[in-house]
Parts: sequence; C-alpha cells; structure tokens
Amino acid sequence: MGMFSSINTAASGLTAQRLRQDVISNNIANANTTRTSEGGPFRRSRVILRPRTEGPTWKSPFIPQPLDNGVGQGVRVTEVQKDMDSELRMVYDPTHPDAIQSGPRAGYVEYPNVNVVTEMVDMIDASRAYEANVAVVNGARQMFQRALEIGR
Amino acid sequence: MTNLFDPGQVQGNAMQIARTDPNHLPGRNQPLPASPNETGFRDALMGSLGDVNDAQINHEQLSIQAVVNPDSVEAHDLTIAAAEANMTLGITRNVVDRVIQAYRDITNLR
Repeated sequence: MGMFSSINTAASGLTAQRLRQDVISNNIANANTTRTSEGGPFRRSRVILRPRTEGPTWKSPFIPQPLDNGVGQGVRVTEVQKDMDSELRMVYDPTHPDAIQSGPRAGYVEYPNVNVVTEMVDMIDASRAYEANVAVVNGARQMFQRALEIGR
Repeated sequence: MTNLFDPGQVQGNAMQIARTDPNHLPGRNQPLPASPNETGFRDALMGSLGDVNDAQINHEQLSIQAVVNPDSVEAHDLTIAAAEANMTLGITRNVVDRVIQAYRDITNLR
C-alpha cells in the first residue's frame, strides 16, 4: 500500500459516481423518447459496479508481490446495462406517429420506462456518494498533514 | 524434527522454508531478493525526489490538458493530482528541513 492508496481508491469511486450522474442525465433527457435505432422506445440504463481487485485479499510475507492484493483498489464500472425488464409507460394518443396501429393496445404510445422521480432520487444518491468520496480524500489529506506535524 | 527455518535465509519478515519432502517445490537454495531497506539515505532521498517530480509533472500535464481540452479530464482527477503534488512536496520539504536542522545542531555543538 502506497502513500496515496486511499486517495486513489476514493478517486475510483469519484469517477464511478460521475459516470452514474452522466447515465442518470441521459435517462432524464430521454424520458419521452419514443423512437430509437433498435426499435421501440428508449430504455433506461443503469450502471453495474464491481470491485477493482477480484479474488481474495490477504497479506503474508510468503506470497509473491504480484499476488498481493492488499486491501483492494477501489471500484470499477463493468457495464452500463439497459433495463429491459421493467414495464414501459403506456399513454393513449392515437394521433402520435409512433402509436400502436392494431391489436388490443391500438392507439397507445409506448413511452420509456424512465421514472423521473426515481432518477432524481438516484441522482441525490450519486451526488451524496460523490461527497462521501471527497470526504475520504480530505480525511486522508488531513491524516497526512497531521503526520507531518509529528515532532514539530 | 528437522529445523524448518534456515537462520541464514531470514531477511526482515521474509524467510525461506526448508524443503522436507522431495516432491515439494525447491525453494530453500534460492537466495532472497535484495530487500529495499539495504539502500542508504541518499538513494532513498533521491528516489523519493523522483516521485515528487513525477507528481509535479503529472499535475502539470493534467492542468494543461484541462485548459486545452476540458472535456477530456475529470475535475476531481485534477484536484487530486494537485493534492498529491502538494503532499509529496510537503513531506520532502519536511525531511530536508529536519536534515538541515540536524546538521545545524551538530555544527552548533561547542
């Protein structure tokens, strides 16, 4: 573990939360998009996170350096996944060009499965998590400065 | 009971385990890698000065990138690089100050 390992770990969290914020803003911007290149309305995306070091984290003088994972190195984004499971929002609007033409749901328009309230709550969550990571960086900096004051 | 550890093969908190079973991997006769704490104060100081310089260069490059192409760099990466450059410089200044203080203390012994 180096001098800045906690700061670098927190930086990975900051980057992940920034990406979450970008994805949320894309979801909200496309909350009324009814037409996409893959057909159908826009589907909300969500961010899947994983720890950066896979496998066990142990420490021993007997294991070689490359196998030594330390206490972990932060978080990484594995994928930005489309939510294909949750229900689409159906709005009755027969004059809309994307309205369903025939069948039992004729006249309805499929709107994205984006719930703006949920996205807002997610955004609060992302910005609070960002704040928490900033607090970690500042805490590590303060510890470092206290260390410099030892014996002064 | 044979002796599991060869006292000549112990360095710091690392040691070679003796091989008691011929099917086990050989390991006892390989010398341990030189531990980094054998280098002197001068090498340690010069090495850490290199690290300080790297942190400064990293911060400078990120600042230039932030001015030239703001979309390509995250704000927190820039501030963290600045904090790291500041912290490494702070500890270097502290160490050098202490060394100079020790030198002055010795020259004032009279």
